[in-house]
Amino acid sequence: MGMPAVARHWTREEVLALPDDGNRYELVDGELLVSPSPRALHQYGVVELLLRIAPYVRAHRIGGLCISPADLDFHAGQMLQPDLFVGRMVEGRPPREWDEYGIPLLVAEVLSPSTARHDRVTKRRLYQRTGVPTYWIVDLDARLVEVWTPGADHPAIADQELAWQPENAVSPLRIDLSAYFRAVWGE
Amino acid sequence: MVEGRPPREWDEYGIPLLVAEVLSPSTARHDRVTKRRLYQRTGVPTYWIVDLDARLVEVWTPGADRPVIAEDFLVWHPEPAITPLQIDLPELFGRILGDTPID
Repeated sequence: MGMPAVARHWTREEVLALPDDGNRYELVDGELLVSPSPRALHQYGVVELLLRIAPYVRAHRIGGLCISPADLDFHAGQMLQPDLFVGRMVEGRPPREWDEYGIPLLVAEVLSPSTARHDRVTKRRLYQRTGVPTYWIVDLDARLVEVWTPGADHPAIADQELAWQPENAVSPLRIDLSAYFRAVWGE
Repeated sequence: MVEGRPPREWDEYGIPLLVAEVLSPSTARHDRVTKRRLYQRTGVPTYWIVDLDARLVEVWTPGADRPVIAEDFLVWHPEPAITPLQIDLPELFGRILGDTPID
């Protein structure tokens, strides 16, 4: 009888020692997630989202707005590189170092074929479990955004307007999704 | 633009109109030498090296053997027919480094 097949448990040190080969490496509960270099369309998805969130985050002093590459560690040696995320203010200013980010107020991932399983399952469960208040999964093909919150079994589906009102904000951000997806697709 | 629309795939990008690299200790040598030479040789019209510590931007163009140093305003004028982009660098660096109050 052979040894049972056991998935390898990666450590933070092992992941940091991997070569800088253009892949994006993340570590979730000891599982190594490898994502190849994204396509141009995926990056347009991130850029157009960033452009719509930035004025709101700045005007309402929400926190630090950032895109990956990054090195977030929510707890217990995770290594996360979300496409886009917002971290809470630290003593009235945006976080300056990754370890000041803590649990982000918002995480967004733009789906691509190679990361869909991680974004929809592995990372979604982690974001929910660690209490990320809002997690957006942006589906460029279906032209909709899934909105996940910590206790939910199912996402809310936004396909017209995406609204976000983080804690302490006096008014919500409203993103016109039709215009967003048209911009991403260059229409 | 490719046929009047932004490129959709990486292989449609060709030689970019503008390339910018933000310096970090681990990439400084590549940004300042290896990639700078490549960008100049391949005819990238404008290459910005953003130096957060020095609060300046080096502007490299294909034929130059030295950069133009921008400390106050960074100007980019890719098309003669349109108004140039003008970036207030003290304001930009203040935001990035956290010493300008957020409006």
